[in-house]
Amino acid sequence: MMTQGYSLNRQTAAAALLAPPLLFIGLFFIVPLINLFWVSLHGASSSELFGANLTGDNYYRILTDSFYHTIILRTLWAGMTILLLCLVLGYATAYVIAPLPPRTRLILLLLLVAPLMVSNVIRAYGWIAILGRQGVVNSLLRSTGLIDGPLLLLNSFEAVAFGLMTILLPYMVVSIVNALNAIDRQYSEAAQSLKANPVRTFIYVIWPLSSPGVASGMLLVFLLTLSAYVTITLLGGPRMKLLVSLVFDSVTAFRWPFAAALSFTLLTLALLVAGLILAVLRPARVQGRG
Amino acid sequence: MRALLVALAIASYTFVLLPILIVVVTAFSASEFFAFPPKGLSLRWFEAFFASDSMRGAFARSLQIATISAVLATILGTMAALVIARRKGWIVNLVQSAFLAPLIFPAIVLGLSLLIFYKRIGGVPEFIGLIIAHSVLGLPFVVRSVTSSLLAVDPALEEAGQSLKASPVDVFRFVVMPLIWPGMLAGGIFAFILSLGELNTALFLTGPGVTTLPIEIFSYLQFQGGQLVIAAASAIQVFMIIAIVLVAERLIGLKRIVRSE
Amino acid sequence: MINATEPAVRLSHVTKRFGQAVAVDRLSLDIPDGSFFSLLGPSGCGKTTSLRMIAGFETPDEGDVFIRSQNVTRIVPHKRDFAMVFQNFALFPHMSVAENVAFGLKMIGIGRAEREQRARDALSMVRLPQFADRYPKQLSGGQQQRVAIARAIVMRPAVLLLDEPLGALDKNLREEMQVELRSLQQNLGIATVFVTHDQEEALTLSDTIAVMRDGRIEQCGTPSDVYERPINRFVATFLGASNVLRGKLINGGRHALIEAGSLSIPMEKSVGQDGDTIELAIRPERIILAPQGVQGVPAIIKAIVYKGATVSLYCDASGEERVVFVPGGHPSLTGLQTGASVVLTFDPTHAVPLRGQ
Repeated sequence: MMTQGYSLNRQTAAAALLAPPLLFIGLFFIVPLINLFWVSLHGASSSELFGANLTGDNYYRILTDSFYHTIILRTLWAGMTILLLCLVLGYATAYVIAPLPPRTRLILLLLLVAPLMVSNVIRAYGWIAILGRQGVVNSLLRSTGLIDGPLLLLNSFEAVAFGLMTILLPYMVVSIVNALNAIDRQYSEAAQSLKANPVRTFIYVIWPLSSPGVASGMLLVFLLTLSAYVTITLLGGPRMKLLVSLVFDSVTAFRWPFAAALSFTLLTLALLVAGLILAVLRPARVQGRG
Repeated sequence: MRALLVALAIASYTFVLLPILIVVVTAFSASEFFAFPPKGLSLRWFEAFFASDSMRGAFARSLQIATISAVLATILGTMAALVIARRKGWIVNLVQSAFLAPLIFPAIVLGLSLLIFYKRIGGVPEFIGLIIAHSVLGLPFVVRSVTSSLLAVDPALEEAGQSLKASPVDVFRFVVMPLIWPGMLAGGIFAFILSLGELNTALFLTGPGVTTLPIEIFSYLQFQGGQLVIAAASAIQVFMIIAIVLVAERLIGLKRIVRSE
Repeated sequence: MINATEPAVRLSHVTKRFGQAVAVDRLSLDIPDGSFFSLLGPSGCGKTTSLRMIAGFETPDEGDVFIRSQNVTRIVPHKRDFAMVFQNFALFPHMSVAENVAFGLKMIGIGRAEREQRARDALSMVRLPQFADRYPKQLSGGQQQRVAIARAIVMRPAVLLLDEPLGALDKNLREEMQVELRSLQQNLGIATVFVTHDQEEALTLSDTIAVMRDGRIEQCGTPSDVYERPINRFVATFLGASNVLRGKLINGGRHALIEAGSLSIPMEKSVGQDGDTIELAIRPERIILAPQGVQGVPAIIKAIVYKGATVSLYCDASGEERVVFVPGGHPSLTGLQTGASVVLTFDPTHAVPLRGQ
C-alpha cells in the first residue's frame, strides 16, 4: 500500500499535509472537468446553463457535420505542419547546442526559454508588426523596390503555422537538448568503431536514443498548438478557424453544452495524436521496456 | 552539413527573438503609427499606457493575481511535494499524476470547465476565479521543483533532526526548508511569470472591467488595431520578465530556471 | 532517580513485518545501563530494524519498547530519550559544526550561552575544538564521524544508538575510531547499542553481543561467551573461522567419536544418547599439530598461507577441509610443506558441542 510501517502519527501527518492541495486540485481541476463532460451530454437551453435531457446530440453533430470535419482536418493539418517545422528546426538547433560547454549551453537555452514567459499575445503582435501591411517585411520589400503593393501575409494558414512554430520551437529544443545530453557518448563511439559514418551513426544510434526527448517535445508542441487561440485568431483572421476557435465562438454564443462537447473533441484529438506519436517513436524502447 | 545546422539554429533564434525585439523597439517610437525602424524615439507610449485607466487597471490586476496565485501555488505545492517526495506506492504515483496533470492539459479546456463550474455553483467573482485558475496552472511547477529539491536531501537528515528532539514542524523549519527554499522559489517564480502572461484561461474567466494585461492587449489588437500603446504595454511586461529572470539567476542560479521547463 | 538494576532499554517480544516478510520475530532483550551492547548479524537479520524501533523510526507490529522503564512504543522519536549516530553521519550541511552539535540542545530549549558551552565541551571530548566554525563538507570522513558523535553525546541521552557508524571509514581509521568510541563510552557511562555486521568490531567493543539471524537472537552473551562457546553452527561460523567436526555419541553419551572414528573426545556432560549424531566446533587457533606419538586426526596439508603473525594451514582430513592457525615462527612449522602428512589434535575442553544449526 502507501508506506511501510510508519507510526500512526506519521501517516496522519502525511494525510494532513496532502489534504489541502489534493482538495484544491480535486475541487478546481477534476470536478470541473467531470462537470464539463456532464454538461456536454445535454442540449442547449435559453434560460439555464444547459437543457434537461441527456443526449449525445452534440457529439453526433460534430461527428457527422462536414463543417466540423473540415475544421478538425484543418486543425490536424496545422498541427502536423507545425510539428514538422519544429522538429526540423528544433532538432538542428538542439544538435548545435547540446555539445557546447555547460555555461554557454545554459545561457543559450535561457535565451530561448525566456521568450516563453512573455505572453503569446505579445509575440503574436510582434508577428503582426513583421508581416502586416505596414509591417517590416513589406516596408523592406517596398523600399528596395521589389514590390509595389503590400503582400498580404497575414490572415492565412501560413501565418498561423509560422507564428505558432516560433512560439513552440523552444519547447522542442529544450526537450531534445536534454535527451541528447542523456545519451552516453560511448554509444556513438561504439558505432564509429563499427565503421558507421556520421550520417549512419545519427540514423541508427542518435536518433533512436533521442526519441524520448523528441516524443515529449512533439507531444508538448501539439498540445499547445491545440490551445493557442490567441495566436490563431490574431494571425489567422476571422476566417481561419481551427477547433479551438469554435470552442470560443460557442462560448460567446452562450452555447455551453456544445462548447463542452467541442472541448472534449479537442481532448480526444490530443490523446489520439499523442498515442500516434508514442506508437511511431516508441520511446519506451530506449528506457528498456517494450 | 555542419554549416546548414548552424544556419538553421541561427534561423531558429531569429524567429523566436525577433518579434519580441521589434515590439520592444516599437514601444519607444515617437510616431503615431507603426513604422520600422521607428522614425524617432520617445516615451509617449509609456505615458499613454499609464494614462489609460483600463491598461493601468489591467496591469495592477495582473500583478495582484500573479502574486496571490504564485503564493498559493507555492504553499499548496510544497505541502504536496513533502508527501510525494518521501513516500512510495501506487497511491502516491496517482496523486503525483493528479498534481502534474495541468502541465499537459489544454488550458482552454481548463478555462472553460472552470467557467461553467463557477456558474453552476452560483457565480464566483472574476478576480478570485482567476486566482484559482492560475494557482491550478502554477501548482505543477512548484510540485515538480520542490519534489526534485527534496529528493536531493538525504532523508537521514530529517531523522537526525528528530533524534535531536526537533518536532516535525521544527524539522521542516530548521533542516528541510533551508535546503529546499531555492526549489520553492524557482517554482513560485515560474508560477508568477506564468500567471502574468496567461491567456487561455483568462479568455474565459475575465469579464467587463475585470481583465488582465494580456487580455487587455488582445482586445486592443482585435478591435482597435494599430495603437502603439500596446507596444508599450508589451514592452513593460517584457522588462518585468527580464528583471525577474535576472533576480532569480542571482538567487537560485541558471540551472534551476532552465530545468524548470 | 535511576534504578541501578533497571535496564536502559528493553525490547519485549517485539515483532516487525514488512509486507509478508518478518524482519524482527518476537525479539526480547535487555540493555543494561552503561553497557556497550552490539547487535551483530548478516544483512537482513533485523538488527537495523530493531535499532530503529528503539529510536521510533519504525513501530513494532507486536510487542513493546521501553526506555528506562517508560513504555515508549507509541511515542514519537522526538519525544524519546535517545540520541543516534547515523551511518552516513547526517550532518546538516547548511549549519556549521558548532551549530550542528548545539542543534539538539536548541530543540529542547537550552539557552544560547549554555548550549554553546556544552557544544564546545562535546567537541573537546572528540578532540575537534578548533573546527567549531567549519562546515561539514570541509571535514574529512573521520572528522565528520566525530562531529556526529559529539552531536549525540552532548544530549546526555539515556541510550546512544549507533547504526554501523564506522562502515564509511577506511580500515586504519576504523580501528582508531573503535578505540576512541569505546573509551568515550566508558568515560560517559551511557548505554550504547551498536549495530554492525563486522564480528571483529563487535568482539573488540562490546560488553555484550547479541548475534542475530532472520529476526531472532541466536545467542546473547559476552564476547568470550559467543566466541568460545557458540551454541550453534551459525554462531560458530559467523564469529570467526570455525571447524565443525561431526561424530556419534558413545559410552552413554559421554564421549564423542569423531572424524571417522579416529578420535574420541570426552564431553563435559552427557549431551544425548548413544548413537546420536553430534557436532563440535573447534577454533582453528585451538588445533595443534600433534608431536610424535600423540593420538589425533590424520590429515594432509593442502595449502600454507603466510599471514605474518599467524600461518594458516588448510588441511584435508578424510575429505573434510580443516583450518589450523599456527603462530608464526612456531617450531611445528619447520620444514612443513604442502602434501605433508600431519596429525591434528586439540584440548577437548576447547571443543564446543553445537545445538542445532
